[in-house]
Amino acid sequence: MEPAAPGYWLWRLWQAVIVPLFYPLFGLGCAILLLLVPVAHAVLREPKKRTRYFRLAVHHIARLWFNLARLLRVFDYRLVNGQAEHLLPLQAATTDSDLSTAGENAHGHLVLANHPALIDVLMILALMPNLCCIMKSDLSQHPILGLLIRNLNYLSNDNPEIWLAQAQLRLESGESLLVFPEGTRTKPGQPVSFKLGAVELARRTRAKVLPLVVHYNSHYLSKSCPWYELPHSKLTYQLEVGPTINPRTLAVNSTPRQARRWLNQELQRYFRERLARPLAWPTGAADVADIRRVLAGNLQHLGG
Amino acid sequence: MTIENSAIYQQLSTLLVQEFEIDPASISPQSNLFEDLDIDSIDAIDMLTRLRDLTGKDLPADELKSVRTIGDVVALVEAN
Repeated sequence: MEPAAPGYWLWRLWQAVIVPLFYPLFGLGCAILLLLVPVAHAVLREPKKRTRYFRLAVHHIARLWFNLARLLRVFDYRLVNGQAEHLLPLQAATTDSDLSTAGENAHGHLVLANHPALIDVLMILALMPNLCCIMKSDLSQHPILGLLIRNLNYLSNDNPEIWLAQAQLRLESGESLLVFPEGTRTKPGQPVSFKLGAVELARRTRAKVLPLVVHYNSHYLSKSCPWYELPHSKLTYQLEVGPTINPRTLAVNSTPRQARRWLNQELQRYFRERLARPLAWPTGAADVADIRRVLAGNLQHLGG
Repeated sequence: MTIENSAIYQQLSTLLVQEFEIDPASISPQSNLFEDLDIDSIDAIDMLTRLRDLTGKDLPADELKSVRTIGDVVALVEAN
């Protein structure tokens, strides 16, 4: 919205009121999860099942949070049209029967995304109910977040050799993983630059890679932007999902180092090309329907 | 005995040339893995895994953090 547009100042005023109220709701989400910890431990004896339901709780809270954001006009989001189908394999395994067979399924997917703002991890969790995230090690030291991270059975990246080995086991047992290959939030205005851990994982396990390009129209909530510097136009997130990359096509007679660097270059190029192309926010209501349908749970397997 | 003559140093040099495409001329006990030889942190893990296989020694991953030069790697293997 431009300053000249009718209603601009009204919109600004609304932002000043709602933004300081909205983002702290994240804390409320954490509090709810914290309360669920003792309940989950009392009711669900099996750790795997507990993790599963805990992740499902995060998924639903994240969905609620995003729907609320749209309702309150804090930000808006959409999937780029026609790409929701790539999410289907990652939306399964929400029921008990899926749980018991999850280990027998083929490899999990490796979901790779750029990380322009703090909340895109929540957007991804709102779309996929059973992801294991790789977290920065200092987050697991946090007294509250650390407790939640342990209950969600996420991995911490303090020692690369250890987390790579753990992540490899997870992928091979059918779990899907979310990795931000930049290792931190994207620096605004700079092309994405990936660390090699993510591609090493793909090389070792040959797991399918699902690229998730997050288009974000602002610097708001990036690493250098404090929360009170409110954006001047409507915040929008647009997700380009897939297509899935199969690393089985990696050159077989190259050394691991060559394979890693080649795959990393390809992935980096893929993300950079897509991010360099600005994506207009559609004006028609029908264009926004896709992600709304996904979040409303109309897709197969997606309960509630 | 100098570092260059040790079996570990020879094995490591061969490994770096064959698996990591390092120019043999740039390998010396003083060469810095990360600055002179363009080894990244994942390469270093790879290298450690290969050295474990080659020497049969259990080399702890944590000690990799203090390693900078080829000489450091040789010392790490010999200390274990």
